Amino acid sequence: MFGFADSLTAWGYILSILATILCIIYGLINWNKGTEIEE
Amino acid sequence: MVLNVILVLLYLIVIFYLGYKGWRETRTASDYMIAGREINPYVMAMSYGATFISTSAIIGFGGAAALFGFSVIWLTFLNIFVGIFIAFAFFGKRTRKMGRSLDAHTFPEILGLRFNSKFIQGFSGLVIFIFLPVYAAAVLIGISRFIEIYLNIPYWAGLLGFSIILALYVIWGGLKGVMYTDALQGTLMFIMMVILVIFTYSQLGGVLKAHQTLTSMANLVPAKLKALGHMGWTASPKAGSPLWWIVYSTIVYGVGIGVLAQPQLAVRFMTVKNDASLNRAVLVGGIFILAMTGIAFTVGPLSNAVFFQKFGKISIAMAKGNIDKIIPIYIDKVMPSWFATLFLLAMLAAAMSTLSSQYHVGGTSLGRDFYEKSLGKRGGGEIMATRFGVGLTILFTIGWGLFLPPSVIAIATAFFFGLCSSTFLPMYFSALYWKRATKAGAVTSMVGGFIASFFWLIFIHKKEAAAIGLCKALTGKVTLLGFPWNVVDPNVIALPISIILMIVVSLATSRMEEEHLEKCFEWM
Repeated sequence: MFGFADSLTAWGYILSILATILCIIYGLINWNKGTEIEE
Repeated sequence: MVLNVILVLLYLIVIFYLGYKGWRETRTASDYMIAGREINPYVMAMSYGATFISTSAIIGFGGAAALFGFSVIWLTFLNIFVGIFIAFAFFGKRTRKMGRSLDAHTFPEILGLRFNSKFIQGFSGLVIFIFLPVYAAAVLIGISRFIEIYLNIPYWAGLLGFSIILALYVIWGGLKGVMYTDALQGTLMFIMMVILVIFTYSQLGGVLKAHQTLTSMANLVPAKLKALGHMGWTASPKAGSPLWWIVYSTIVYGVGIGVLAQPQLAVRFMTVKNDASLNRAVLVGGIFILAMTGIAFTVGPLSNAVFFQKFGKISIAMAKGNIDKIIPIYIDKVMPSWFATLFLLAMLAAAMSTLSSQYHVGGTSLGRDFYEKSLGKRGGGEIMATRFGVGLTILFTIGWGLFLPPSVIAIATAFFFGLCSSTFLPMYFSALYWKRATKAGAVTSMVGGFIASFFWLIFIHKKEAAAIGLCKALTGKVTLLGFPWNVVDPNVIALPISIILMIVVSLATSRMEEEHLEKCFEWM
């Protein structure tokens, strides 16, 4: 898969990219949430 | 060469200007320690990322990936999913709110105040102050090796000169100076790493072709590595082999989980004014970490294919056995000279941004957590004590940098991450999420995790036990247990022990006062 010799290594590569996409989506969805200042 | 020197000088002038700006804006202890809780989200995210990623990750772990192969990419997944997503979304917000409720300025202080224990704050501060220099030395070795290869300056001279420059802006600039310079350094690192991966893949004919080329080189793995379980650079090591345990228990698990309890990263959560800043930082941080460790752990293995095409040797042979030299040699021999100069600045940036925070945390651990709070010293000398602590941390780091052996960067980093994880993580998680957690549970978990980690390191884990020699002196055997236990990372054993102690002792002791808990969880 993707030129790797085993699927475990390929999944490490794929999940790294998916985790980044998760961070981007989370950041965009919650961009303006939590802007109130405690004081 | 003249251009190199001019560029380095220009870069240092900008860094000193930002350090000076931080110093000008530092009025109070809160400014010095947590940047006045008003830092910009982009600066915070880049500062967190640039502190998280150093020459240790790029040069040390990049070199380890060149040796072990693409299986190290699992650490990138954990760096992003645990080190950014879980850290910010589940630890960061509560740390920020609790830090504000309790008026905490440091990682040990938030733990000490949450469990109403000066001992926790003092012990945590001492553990950080004593052992952080080992990790800081790993970062310092990384940049000193790069300076040695690229500027032809003796290793020890680069190490000392670099430390002196860094000391100047950390001691005076405080956390504001550190974070402003971090943001600039992180941006520079990001650009250079993206260029590096594009160039490397294009050298090998694209992504798929590069991976296939490396897969076809499995027969070139040295016999010594094959015997340890190496199956090629695009495959996982043989399950259960010594190499499998090193890659997955020490590098992937030890560092991947340990990031959650890093004092120099946790303190960043207390520097922003609201949750939105943390939400935005998740986006910036995720992209940044992929561009840092993802690229380092991709270029590392692929360097074998590029070196073999150009010089007929694999990476470890090019570096004459020292994995800490693989990435610097790759940059020097393979990349264009204009890139090498700019990459040197990026590595200076990577080392400076991490070391400055390590020195800062080393200083606050001694000055604030141990001297002022745990020993109960008063009289406004905390910034002075912190600056003294920074100076001592720098001296200890230089000592370790000169003393540690070659190929040590990844191991020294994993040691500190693992130690923090088993000593602090169960207590830190319980502090934020479990109201039933008690002071006795926290103290037992912290001390128990620390002792278990060290016992395993000195008596069981072969790499350190053999080097320290205490086990052999006492028992006549290098380690108390044989394979596979002697290659299992201490954190695999010590973290579960620490978790069990936290739960059992907390449930066996009486709940903390409701009024105190209400104050701790005021904004949650």
